[in-house]
Amino acid sequence: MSLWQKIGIRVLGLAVLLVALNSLYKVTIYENYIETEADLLGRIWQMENMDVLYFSASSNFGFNQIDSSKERISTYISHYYPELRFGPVDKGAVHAGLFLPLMKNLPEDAPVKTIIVSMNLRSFGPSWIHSKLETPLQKSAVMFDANRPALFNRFLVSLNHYDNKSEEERTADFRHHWDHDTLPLPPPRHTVTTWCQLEKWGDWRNPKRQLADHFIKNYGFVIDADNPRIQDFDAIADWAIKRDIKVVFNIMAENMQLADSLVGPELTNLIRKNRDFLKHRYSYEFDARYHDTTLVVVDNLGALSDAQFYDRDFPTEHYLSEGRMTIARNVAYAIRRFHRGKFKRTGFSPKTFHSPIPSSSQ
Amino acid sequence: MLFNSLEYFFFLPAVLLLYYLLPHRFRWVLLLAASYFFYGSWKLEYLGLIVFSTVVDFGISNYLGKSAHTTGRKVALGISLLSNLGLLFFFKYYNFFLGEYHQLVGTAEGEWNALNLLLPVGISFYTFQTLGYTIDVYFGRTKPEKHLGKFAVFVSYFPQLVAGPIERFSRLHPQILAPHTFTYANFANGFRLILYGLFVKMTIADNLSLYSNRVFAEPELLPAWNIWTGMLFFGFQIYADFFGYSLIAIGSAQLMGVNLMNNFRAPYLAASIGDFWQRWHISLSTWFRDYLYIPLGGNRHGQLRWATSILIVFTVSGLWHGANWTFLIWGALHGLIYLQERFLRLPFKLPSSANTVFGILKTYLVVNLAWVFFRADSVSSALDVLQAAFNTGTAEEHFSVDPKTSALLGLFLVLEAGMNGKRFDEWIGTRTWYLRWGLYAVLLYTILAMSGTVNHPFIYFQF
Repeated sequence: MSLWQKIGIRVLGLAVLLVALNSLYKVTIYENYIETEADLLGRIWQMENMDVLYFSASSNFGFNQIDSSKERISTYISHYYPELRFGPVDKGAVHAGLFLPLMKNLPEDAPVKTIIVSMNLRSFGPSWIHSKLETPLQKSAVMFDANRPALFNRFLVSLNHYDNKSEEERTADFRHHWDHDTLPLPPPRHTVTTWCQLEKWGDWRNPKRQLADHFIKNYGFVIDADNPRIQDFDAIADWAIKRDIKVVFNIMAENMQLADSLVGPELTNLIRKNRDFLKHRYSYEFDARYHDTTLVVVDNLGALSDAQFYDRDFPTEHYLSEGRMTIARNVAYAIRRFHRGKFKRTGFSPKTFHSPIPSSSQ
Repeated sequence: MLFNSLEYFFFLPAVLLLYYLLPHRFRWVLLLAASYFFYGSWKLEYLGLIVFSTVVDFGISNYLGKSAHTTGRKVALGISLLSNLGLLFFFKYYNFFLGEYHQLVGTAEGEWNALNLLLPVGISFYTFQTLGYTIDVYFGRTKPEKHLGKFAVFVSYFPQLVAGPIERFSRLHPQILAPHTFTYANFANGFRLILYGLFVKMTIADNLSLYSNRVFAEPELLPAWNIWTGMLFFGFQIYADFFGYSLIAIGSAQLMGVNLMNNFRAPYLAASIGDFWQRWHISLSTWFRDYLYIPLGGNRHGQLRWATSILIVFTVSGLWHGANWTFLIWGALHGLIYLQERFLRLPFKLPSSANTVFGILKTYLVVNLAWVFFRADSVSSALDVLQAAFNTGTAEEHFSVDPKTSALLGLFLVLEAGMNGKRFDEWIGTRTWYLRWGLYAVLLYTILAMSGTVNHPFIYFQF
């Protein structure tokens, strides 16, 4: 046997072995690993029979102890469509960059008709893009790639083959943006850093001052076509349209009232401009494929008053039940065009809903 | 570029392919380019340090090779020592000594600033390798290389550049430049070593690190049995981490026909500290023996001088690992135990086999206790861990060891016992094909499916 024959046989043996090991992995410890380390993938597996999928960060499930109802936004929407099966795919700090690889795990014959994807304006900003929470998310996302063997994905996790930055590196990244990204405002509001240094509400120890600065850091940016989240949403829209799945981009409510009182109209105007950019970007005027029968943007930006936000020390999209119901109602009405004949008036309103309705789709 | 990275799995085959395709006379160019690429992938700027070290030692060694002028030769050797150790001191120890100085004179915090220096990966390894070469040329033990490029390959040879084994010029250089042909034996043995090295590093070391990290992060919260678990696991972790790295390095070189020296020989079966250092990081301990211990006088000048030399060698060896009092204490502890073994013996005589077992247990315990200083961030943290190890009170938290980790550690220990001091490639090469392939399957599966997932570069890269 020649040297190359000898090596060839062994390489072939190795290839067979790898295929066998991949199968062994999938029937033994794979699901357990997914459950503990990449739970969103496990969640999407459970959603294969759903009609509507709701992709979101914690705004979907965040609730306050004082809430009369602790249902998800997606559950509230499902009450308007009792014939449709709704499935939430949600996790804290998750964003559009992770949704598409998850969606690609849906089988070709999955009955999904509509995807609702939450658009948190904060998620377009450097504070979220370079958040320290991104590293564990990226780590779990390695397992989402359905085009590679599961065992290879697991190996890539061990090799730390993902955007594996340390907390210090990520902090340096968003600080760089705060220092250097120019805002369309006159100095000293032309960068986040100089804006934060501006005198307001006393010194650093004043909680109002701290909260005002949090608002500036989280909303002080300009969305443009190069924004990584825009590219993610573009890719989601492309994928869904190709699969004939209706798309809903749900611009989440932000605490505009508090932003205005703490920082002023410079910030709220900036937020509105960003919202307008998103609405235009995903409109028929921008791309003829984004017809109102394929893609709809629901604008909830200013839909809620300050009283509907329960986090008081940081800007979030965490709403009290009444707020979640309002968002749900707006989405439910907006998607009637996709599900004609399925819409039912629920008999509940954000003001009157008090009894959680059990839902098998949750 | 780490050995346990996807990049390396592309890099190594590409280098191998080009290596065997190229005519022999061009291979040194490929190896130099590959080595600089390998090192530059960490931080391009630090390539300058290797080039500096290479040029200085090339120039000095060639001067030493030609000159018979005693003073001139001494000055030249001094320049080499100063430049190599100066680089090492500046990048590794400057901030440490500056901090200690300011603490000593009572400078207020904020009134002095440490330099913003990032320790170049592997600087302690390649400076020692180059220094050893220059000293060998000075003493006439080796002839200087006259070709700068070929000398640069010796300094930067990628398989052992960043964490050894620290090789001697007379052993490594001729092998690198020899006209190797592709052989099945080198191919098989190289891949066997890489496979076992990845298993040892990724499956054993990286899984154990979860427990040792927790113990060293919050010893005050954990019960004594957890502290001991973490301490003993760290002993296995650091062994598996460095042993695994060395195996991958040796395996990578083997694929190109180069036989690097073994760095480990079942160190936890050592029956004394002296024995331990003949089994642990062998390339460093022999370097210190040849270039520090013997020049200090060795055992030729009486017991007091000998004991002093031993303490100096061990303390410097400790400090070589890092700029921290913890490393110095770790080295000194080993030195003191070494002297104790020489001067204070048991008052009674045990039968030979019992003596060996007692020696192994004692050495294992002492080495693991000393590792606490090696692992801890500060002396006070080390003392906290040791205190917690003997704490009999109740603890707020506790952890239990995942059965998977216990099983993997058990597999590793069984394999190590089965090999009985042999290297994996030698041992597995003599097994039947089904045992061989069965074990490959098990190792491959554990590497692919059960490796640790927390980010852990090789521990010795920081030295």
